[in-house]
Amino acid sequence: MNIEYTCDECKARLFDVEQLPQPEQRQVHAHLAHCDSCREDLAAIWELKRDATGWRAQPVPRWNRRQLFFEPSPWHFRFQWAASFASVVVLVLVLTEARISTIDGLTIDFAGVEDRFVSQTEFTRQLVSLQEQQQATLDTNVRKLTNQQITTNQLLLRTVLDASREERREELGNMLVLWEADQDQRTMSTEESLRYLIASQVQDRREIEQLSSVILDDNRRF
Amino acid sequence: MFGKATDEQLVTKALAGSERAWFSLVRRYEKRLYNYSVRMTGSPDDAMDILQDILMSVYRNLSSYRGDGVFAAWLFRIASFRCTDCLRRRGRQFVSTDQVDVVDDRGLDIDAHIDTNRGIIGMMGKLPTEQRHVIELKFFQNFTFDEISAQLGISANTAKSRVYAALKKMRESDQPQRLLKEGI
Repeated sequence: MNIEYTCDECKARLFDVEQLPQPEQRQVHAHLAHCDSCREDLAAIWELKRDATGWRAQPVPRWNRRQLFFEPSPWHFRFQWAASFASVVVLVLVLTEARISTIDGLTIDFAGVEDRFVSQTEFTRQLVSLQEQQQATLDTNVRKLTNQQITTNQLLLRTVLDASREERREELGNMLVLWEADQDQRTMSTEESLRYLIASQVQDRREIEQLSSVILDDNRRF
Repeated sequence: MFGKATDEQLVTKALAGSERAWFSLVRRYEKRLYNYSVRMTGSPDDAMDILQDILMSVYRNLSSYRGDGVFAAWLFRIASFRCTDCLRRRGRQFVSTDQVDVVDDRGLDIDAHIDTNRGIIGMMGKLPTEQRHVIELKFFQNFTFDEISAQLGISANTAKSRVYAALKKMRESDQPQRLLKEGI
């Protein structure tokens, strides 16, 4: 004679009750005949199995299988080690409490800032002081620049005047040379005119004398 | 001679460098894995990401498959890990069923199945992840409790307890009865 199953024993066999050997199936059914709880569980299992078979399988959206598995990854994926490397470098810098400074005054301190903590008032005072220093430096530089500008202007003006004077002197010299050449030309022209006039007068005188002698000869003949 | 290659044969060929064998394996399981992910996350978009995650993970670990068990069981063990990992990483368990589009193979909505699928997704969404895993593997993937216990790293009795806890939760939320009334 079979001993009837307890609820736990029955529940352990409810999932595949139809595949159990006949004696076990009979024992399960014998228990179910008077156990509401196990009957509810069996009903729920059947409902769930029915729901599962009612599932409409969804088609897989189109996707590029070859690209995922076989095509080379984009270049930036090949450099993913760089991020890990950078992390290690930063970790080393932090652990060694490194301090990096540039000639511009920029400082990166990996040692923390507790000992350099500055209160708000102190920070404001330092800021105002720095501002005043910068203003003073700016004023000095502006003055220096203005003086330099004035000196430069004066020098430039003097150079321009000198250059102008020299130029005028040269122009006057050229004009004098031209005037003298013109005068020489006129003198020569006048002298030539006088020589021509004298030569003409001499010629005229000779002709008058010849004419006079001819006239005197004619008068003697008559 | 001309029969369908077994999973183990395809795995051996894939390990020898055959892309074709690997794609055969992918095509054989991708729909099952995709639907598994849809039910586990409730989101087709997340499911697609998880599917690719799972397959990539399987591809990378293919050499560690010793062939001493059913390939599907090994595959779904990885799928369980990847799915749990993705759900944890995304910091959420489930999306609203309103966001789930149900389509048939031809891309058309079929009203008769929309309610079924949404009902199932809604029902799964009410369960904690560990219970959802067991329900999925037992009722949708039809694994035995021994296989489930191997996949999830729990005992068969714990797996059964989780199923009963899930059934109780479902009874309380009256979800199966609603589906039943709708004639599914």
